[in-house]
Amino acid sequence: MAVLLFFRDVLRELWRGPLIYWLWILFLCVIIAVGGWSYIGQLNNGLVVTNMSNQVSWGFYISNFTFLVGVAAAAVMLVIPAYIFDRKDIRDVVLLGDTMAVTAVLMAMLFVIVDIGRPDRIWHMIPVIGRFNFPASLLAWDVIVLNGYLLLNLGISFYLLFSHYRGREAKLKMYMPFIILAIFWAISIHTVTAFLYSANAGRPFWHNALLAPRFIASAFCSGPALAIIILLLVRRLAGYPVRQSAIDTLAITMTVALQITLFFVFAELFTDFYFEHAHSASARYLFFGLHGAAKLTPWIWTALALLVIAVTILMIHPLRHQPLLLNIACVLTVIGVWIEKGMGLVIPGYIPTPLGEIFEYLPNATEVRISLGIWAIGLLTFTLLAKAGMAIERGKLRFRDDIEEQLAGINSEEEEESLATTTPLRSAE
Amino acid sequence: MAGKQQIEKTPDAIDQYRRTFLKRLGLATATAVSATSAHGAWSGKTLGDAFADFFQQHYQRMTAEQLKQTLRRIERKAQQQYGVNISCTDTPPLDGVVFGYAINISKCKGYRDCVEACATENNLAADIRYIHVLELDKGNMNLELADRYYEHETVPVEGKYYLPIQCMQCDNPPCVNACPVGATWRESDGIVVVDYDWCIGCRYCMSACPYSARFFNWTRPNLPAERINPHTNFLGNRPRPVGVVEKCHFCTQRTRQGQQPACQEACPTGARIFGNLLDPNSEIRYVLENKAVFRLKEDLGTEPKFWYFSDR
Amino acid sequence: MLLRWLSIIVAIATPGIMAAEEAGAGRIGYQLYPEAPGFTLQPRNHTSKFQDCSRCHEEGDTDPEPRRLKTRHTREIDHGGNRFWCLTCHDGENMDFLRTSRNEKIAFEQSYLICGSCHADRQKDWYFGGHGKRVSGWQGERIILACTQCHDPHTPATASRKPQPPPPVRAGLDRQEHHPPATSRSWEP
Repeated sequence: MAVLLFFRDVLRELWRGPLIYWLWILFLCVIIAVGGWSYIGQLNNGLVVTNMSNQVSWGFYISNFTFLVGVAAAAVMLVIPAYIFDRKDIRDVVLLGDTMAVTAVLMAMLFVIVDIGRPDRIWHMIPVIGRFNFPASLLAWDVIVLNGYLLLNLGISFYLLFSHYRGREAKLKMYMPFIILAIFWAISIHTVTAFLYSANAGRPFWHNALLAPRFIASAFCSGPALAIIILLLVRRLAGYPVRQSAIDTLAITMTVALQITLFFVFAELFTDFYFEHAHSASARYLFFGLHGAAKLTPWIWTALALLVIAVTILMIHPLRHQPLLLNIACVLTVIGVWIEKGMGLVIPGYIPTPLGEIFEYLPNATEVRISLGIWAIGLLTFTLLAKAGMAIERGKLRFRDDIEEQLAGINSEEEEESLATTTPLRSAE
Repeated sequence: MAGKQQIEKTPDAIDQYRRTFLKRLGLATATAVSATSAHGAWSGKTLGDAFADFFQQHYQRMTAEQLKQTLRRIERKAQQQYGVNISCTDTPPLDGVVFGYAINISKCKGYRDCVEACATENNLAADIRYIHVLELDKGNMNLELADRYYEHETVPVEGKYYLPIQCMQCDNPPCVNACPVGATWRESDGIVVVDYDWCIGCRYCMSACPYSARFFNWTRPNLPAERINPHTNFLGNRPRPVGVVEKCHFCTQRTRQGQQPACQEACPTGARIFGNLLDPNSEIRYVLENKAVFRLKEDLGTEPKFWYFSDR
Repeated sequence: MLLRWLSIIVAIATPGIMAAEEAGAGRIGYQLYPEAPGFTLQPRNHTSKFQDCSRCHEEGDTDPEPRRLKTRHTREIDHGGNRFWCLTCHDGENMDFLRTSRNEKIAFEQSYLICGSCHADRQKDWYFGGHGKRVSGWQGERIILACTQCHDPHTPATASRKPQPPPPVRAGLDRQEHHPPATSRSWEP
C-alpha cells in the first residue's frame, strides 16, 4: 500500500545523511540518554530529586511547558499568511512551521509527564474509563486542546506530505476547514494555558486579565523568532529554498508582537508598583527581591534587557534586514521570552505563598538534565520530521509504482543523480 | 551510502549482532524491573496486588466489594512496607452533619501541640505538617510579616499572637475545580477529601489553594513502625503512597465516629472548637452567632469552614 | 407580705440548698443559663495531699481577717490584683466547701459558680461551649472541663512553656532564612 511505502521511503530518507547529520543525531541521543537516566532516578525516588517544594510546587518543567505551548501556538503565524492571505512564499515553508508546532506540543506534553507525581496513573485522565473533570478543571481543557492541536497538525501535515509524495496536489477543499480550525485552535491552546494560571484567584501575580493577552503576544514573537532561526538554518545547511520575503514577513510579525509584549510588561509594572500592596509582593520579589530573597532578579532583568535589545534591532529597518543582526534578535527574543514566560512567570506566582512565606526555588541539576533531554527529544523529532518533509517537498521522495525495481535497487543510482540538483518546490495552487 | 553498506554485511554477522543485542536488552529490562521493584511504588507487592493497584477505580465508582478488597490491599501494603498491622475502614459521612471549626486566637499560645498530635494521629511523613501556626505581631494581620518557624524558650511571646492554619474545608473549594481527574471533592459533611489512589500528582490543586493547605509526597513517606497509628480510614489517615497530594481532613477516622479531631483534643487551652454547623445548639454555632468571628481571605469567596475569633 | 418574704427566702436559699445537696455529685441542678446545652463536668482528680479539710480545720476556728498566710499548703495568690485572699473563695466556716460572692456554700465541684461572679461573659461562653474544653466527642454526651481544671484559681494565668519544634521543610531541602521587617508603625513620626 502507498502508505506503507511512504513510511518506508521516509525511513530510508532518514537513514541517509552526511556525517554532520549523524553527529547531530548522536549528540542529541547522548543528551537524551543522560536525561533519561536522570528521569529513571526521578521515577525511583520521587520528585524529591528536584528542587520543588510545597511552597513552590511547579518549577522548571512547567516553565518549559508554558514556553513551548506558546511556540506551538505561534505556528499559526505562518498558517495565516500562507492560507488566508494566500502568500505563496510562506506556503512553501508552512510545513516547517507545522513541524515546529508538532514538536513543540510533543515537548510540552513530555514536560507535563515528567512533572506529575504518578505517571503510572495517566490513564485516570482518559474520559469514561478514567475520570475527566471537564469542564471545571483548566488542566482538563489543556489536555483536550493540546491533544487536539497535535492531531490537527499531524493530520494536516501528513495529508499534505502524503499527497505530494503521491505526486498530487493536496485538495484545498479537503483540508482548508482543518486549517481554519487549526488557526482558532492555536490561539486556544495558549489561551487555555494562560487561563490555567489566571484562574487561580488565590495567586494575585497570575490572577489578572492581562495574562492571556501577554501569553499570546509573547508567543507570537518567540514562535516566529524560532521559526526564522529554523528557516535560516535549513536554508544554509540543507539548501532548502526559503524566500527572503517569508523571513521578512515573520520578522515584521515578530517585531510588532515583541513591541506589544514589552508594552504589556510595562503595564504590569505600573499596575504593581504605582501603589504597592499585598498583591504586588510577587512582582517585587521578581524584579527587586523581597525581604532579602532575590534569586530571580538577575533572570528577569536579563530577559528584559535581551528583549529590549531585540526590539531595538527589529524596529530599525536596515538592522532587521541584516541577517546576522536578525539572527541575534531572534535568539535574544527566544531566550528573553523563555525566561519571562517560564521562570519569570511560574515561580513568582508562588513567592510569597498565599500565607506570606518566602521559599525560593531554582532548578537543580536533575531538573536541568531531564529538561535538556526533553529538548533534545524535540530537536531530534524536528530534525527527523523536517528532513523527511523537506525531501518530499523537494520531490526527492516520490511514490513509485515500480516496486520490483525498487526492491532490486536498480533505479536507485539514477534516482540519486536526477535529484542531485535542487528541484523547485511544489506550491499548492 | 550507509544503506548499501548494510546490505553488504554478511547475514551471519547481522544475526549474531541481533541475538546479542536482544539478550542484553532482555537482561537490562529484567534488571530495571527488579531494581524498580526494590524501591518505589512496587516494593514487596505481589503481582496480583500490583495489578489491582494499577487498575483501582475512583473511590466514588468502586462497588462495595471492590472497596472491601481495596481496604484489605491497603492493610497488606502497610504490613509489607512498614511491618505494621493496620486496620483500614471506610467511614461514610454522617447524615445531617456539616463540620465547622473555630479557633479562639486569644487562647492560642503557639504551643504547636495540635501540630504534633495531628502528625501522630494521621501518620504524617516527617516533612509534612497539616497545621502551621503563624506568629504575628499584635496590631496587624499582614501575613507577609508572619513567622511560622518561630523557636522560643517559651510561648506566647509578649506582643505576638498566633494563628493556626490548616485546610479550611471550603464550601466553594478552588482545589476541587482544579483537579483534572476529580481526585478531590467535598463530601456531604463538608470535608474536602482526597482519593490518594486516584491522584496523579499534578499538583494543580496546590497552586489553586489560597491557604497553602495542601501538601505533596515528594518521596515515599518514611513512617517509623512504632509511631504508626493503626486505626485508619480510606479517605483519611491511611498511609499514603509517593507522588500524591494530601491535606487535613478533619480526622475523618475520628470525627465521623463522633470523636473530636486530634488537634482539638491536644489543645491544652481549649482554643479549638469543633462541631456540627447544622446543630443549632452546638458550640460552633454559639461561637458564630455570639462572637466576632472572621475567616481568612473572605474576599475570595471560598467560604471556608474555619473561623477565628477573640475574646479580647 | 408573708408570701413576698417567703419567696425571697426561697429564692436565696434554693441555690445554696440545691448546691449543697449536689455536693460531690456530677449533674448540675442550678442552672444559670437554662437554655444552654446540658453538660457533665469531667470528674476532678484530687491532686491535693490535703483532703477532708475539716479534719484539721475545725468549724469556725479560722481567723476571718484578710492577711498574707504562709504555711505548708497555702498558695501564692496572683488573682484579682491584691484584692483576694484565701477566704475570698474558701469558706472559713467549713473548709470542706467554697463560698460564692453571696456567701453561699458550694462544693469544690461547683467552683465555676464563683468564677462567674467576676467573669460573667466568659462563664456564659463556657456554658454554651464558646470557651473551655469539651473532652468528650463533638456529638453525644457533653463532658467539659471545669474552670479550675485549666485555670489554677490561685494563679489562673495560662503558663508559658516551650513550644513544639517548628515545621519541617520538604525532605532534602534546607530551611531558608528570610527576614521580614518588623511590623511597621507607620504613624510614628
